[in-house]
Amino acid sequence: MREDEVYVGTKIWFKANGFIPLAGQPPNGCDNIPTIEIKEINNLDKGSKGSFKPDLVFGNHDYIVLVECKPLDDKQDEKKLLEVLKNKDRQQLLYEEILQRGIFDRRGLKEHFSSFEKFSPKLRACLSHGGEARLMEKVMTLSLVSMDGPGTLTQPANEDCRINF
Amino acid sequence: MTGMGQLFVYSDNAIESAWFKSLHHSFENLESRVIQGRGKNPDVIENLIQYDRPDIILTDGLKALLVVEKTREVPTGHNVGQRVARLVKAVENRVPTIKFFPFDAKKHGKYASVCKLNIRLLLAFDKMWNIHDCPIIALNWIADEDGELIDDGSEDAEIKSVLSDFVDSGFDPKCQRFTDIREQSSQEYDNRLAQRPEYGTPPPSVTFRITSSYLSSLGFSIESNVKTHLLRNQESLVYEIGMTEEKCKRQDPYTGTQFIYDYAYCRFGKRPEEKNLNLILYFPNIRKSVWEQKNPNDLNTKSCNWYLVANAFIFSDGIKLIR
Repeated sequence: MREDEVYVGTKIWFKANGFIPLAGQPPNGCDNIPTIEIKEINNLDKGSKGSFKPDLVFGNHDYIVLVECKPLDDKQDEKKLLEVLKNKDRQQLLYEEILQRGIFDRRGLKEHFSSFEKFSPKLRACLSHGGEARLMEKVMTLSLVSMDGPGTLTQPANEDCRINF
Repeated sequence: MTGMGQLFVYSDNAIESAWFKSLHHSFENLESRVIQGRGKNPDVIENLIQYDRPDIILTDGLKALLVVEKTREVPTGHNVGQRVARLVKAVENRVPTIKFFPFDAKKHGKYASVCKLNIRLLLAFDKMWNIHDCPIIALNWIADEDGELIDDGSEDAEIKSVLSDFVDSGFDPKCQRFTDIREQSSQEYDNRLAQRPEYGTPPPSVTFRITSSYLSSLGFSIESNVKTHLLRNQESLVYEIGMTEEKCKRQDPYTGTQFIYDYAYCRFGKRPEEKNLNLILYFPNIRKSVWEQKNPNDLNTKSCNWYLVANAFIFSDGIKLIR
């Protein structure tokens, strides 16, 4: 699958499992959901250098999931996601970006993420691709079979980083 | 859709293709095809990607029925020309064309504010429709009171309705709904012009000059045949492009914007030669030799788009006659 096909399949899978697409940065295309940018903490005023735009962001009452899409497993993407999971300052920037765009409000999720303290523990990360799943410590894998959405979620080893359905 | 052959949705990626197919029930099961590199597509697609690649091309086998362009960006200020070349190619081929984009939306960042449509785009679209006798319409991606783009599905209601009417008409370019949208756009133009009268004239980068005195004012000699050629139009529109030599190997947004100015102010006929005014691109910071090295009229590169409509380029040290 191409990256854009993984993007489409990932949206279908998460929607089928009770998540709402909140934001996205499609590869070479345009989606109806907004793009959000997590700035590099030391580079807030200088354009996009060091910033991270998650390919997809999903939410429900219990979780916010950042997703990176690639045709196959990519360790660099795991690293990008871990940088957000490990860094409260970047999480704060992400939270503010979502608030600034009124995304929680418009998606009926405001009461579930009414403070950063409620938001941060609910943050999860996922790699989505069409290859074999790799067991990671903190990041889950969605292995897609096709762009129509069938796929398998492999939870991370760390229980605190999993999502429960 | 009686009488139609098999329809295909050509696109650069699955995201826009999936979106387009969601806009009408009869599109849901259409086969999606990826627009390949130049020279690797059916003729009907090749004809439409000569200038640039549109987001969506709906075909009926050998014939293109519709071109759709979708963007989250407000065509504001100088960026109004982005993506225009690909739309021009569609109407030149007499393929009905829809650009779906926000007329007003918030730009985020340190200096967040609501950006507003540069209505010269609507003026150019109207002229394109006149000249090529082919619909080209702008549909608004609605935003909320804060300027955030609506994304709950209702943003697609108008384009769905327009496509429904177009499908019901048998993909007739003369579909009444296109004409109705044209009327609305005209009203939109007038309303916005009343709020921002400066859009009634070209921007500061554009000046109208008497051709003879303008050519005489240049600080270099011009061959008599070039001068004679340009003097066929008494007046010229001079579009000043401030690129430097170091950064002149680029096209966006200028090559699209030249079409806006050409159609809005210069053109009267289908061919680029058919103008009431010359369209002159003026590069005050670039020498002719540097330009020719970095932006040749090579059909295999996007730099050939510079040569599509202008009558002449004027550099810091010379002139290049195009047509």
